[in-house]
Amino acid sequence: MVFNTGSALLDAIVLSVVSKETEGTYGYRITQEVREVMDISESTLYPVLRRLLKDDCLEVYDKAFSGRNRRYYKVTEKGDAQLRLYQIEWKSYSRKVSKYLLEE
Amino acid sequence: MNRREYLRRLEQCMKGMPPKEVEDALRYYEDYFEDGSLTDEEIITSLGKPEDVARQIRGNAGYDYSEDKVENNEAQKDIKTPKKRTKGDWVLIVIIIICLLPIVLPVIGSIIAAVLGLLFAAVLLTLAFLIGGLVAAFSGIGTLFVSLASGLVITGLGIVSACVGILLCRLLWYVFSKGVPAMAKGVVKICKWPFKDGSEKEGA
Repeated sequence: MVFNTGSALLDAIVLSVVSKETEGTYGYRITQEVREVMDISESTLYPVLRRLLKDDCLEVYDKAFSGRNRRYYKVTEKGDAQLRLYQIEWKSYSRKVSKYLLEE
Repeated sequence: MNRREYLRRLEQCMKGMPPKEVEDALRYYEDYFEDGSLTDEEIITSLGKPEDVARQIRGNAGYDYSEDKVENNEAQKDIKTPKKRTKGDWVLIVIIIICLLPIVLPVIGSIIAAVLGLLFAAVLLTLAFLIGGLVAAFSGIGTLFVSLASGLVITGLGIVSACVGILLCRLLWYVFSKGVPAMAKGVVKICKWPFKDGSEKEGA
């Protein structure tokens, strides 16, 4: 991707990806889905998840999967509120950028 | 490198971080190997060197255990830490102080004496204005009945003198309450100066 992606945008995408699954989802899948949108390296995601966990925007729980425990990530209430804030911000930001860049 | 070696190396690279953090990170990457539909080798290639992965975890925003930061701090400490004075330095300082004593002591002594003398003179002067003025004012009242003009002059001059005395009182009060402690502090500072370390001198 040509444009720089700040950590806030990455946080927003991760929150959005995780919130799509009500039961939460696991690390590998989050990485793959985020990579559909943004060009991040495979090792970038864990620090983001850790930051969101620390900020209480995400929570983890372990669930049995094919004979082992898999760690799942789930959006908390705070994370949900944060995501809504990101959505509002993004709407106004992207509209402004489009207005100038594409002369819409 | 296989999966186990990779994870072990990653763990080594995270040394010094809180155990819970290390455990969580390892847990994430273990899952990552399990869940990826690729071979271990492919995953290792896509993740990159464990050293870099660990650096990213450490360097994550708001994380105080950043390896780079720690190194920087140490580098800065090296620059800022003043050289500790050796025994030889201290001996030299003491010798210099002893040699300077015959010159410094009389100088400091006479300065202190001069300042005290001036203060004493100022106090006496103030008292003279105050008491002399009051006495003149009262004796002037008596003179009023003898000669109105000279009585008024004496009383007036006496009151003026008393007022000057009062003003000097305030000035003296200021000097004693503010100036003297400041001077004392200054003297203490000068006395401490030879014993200071380089760092304190920088900060002062």
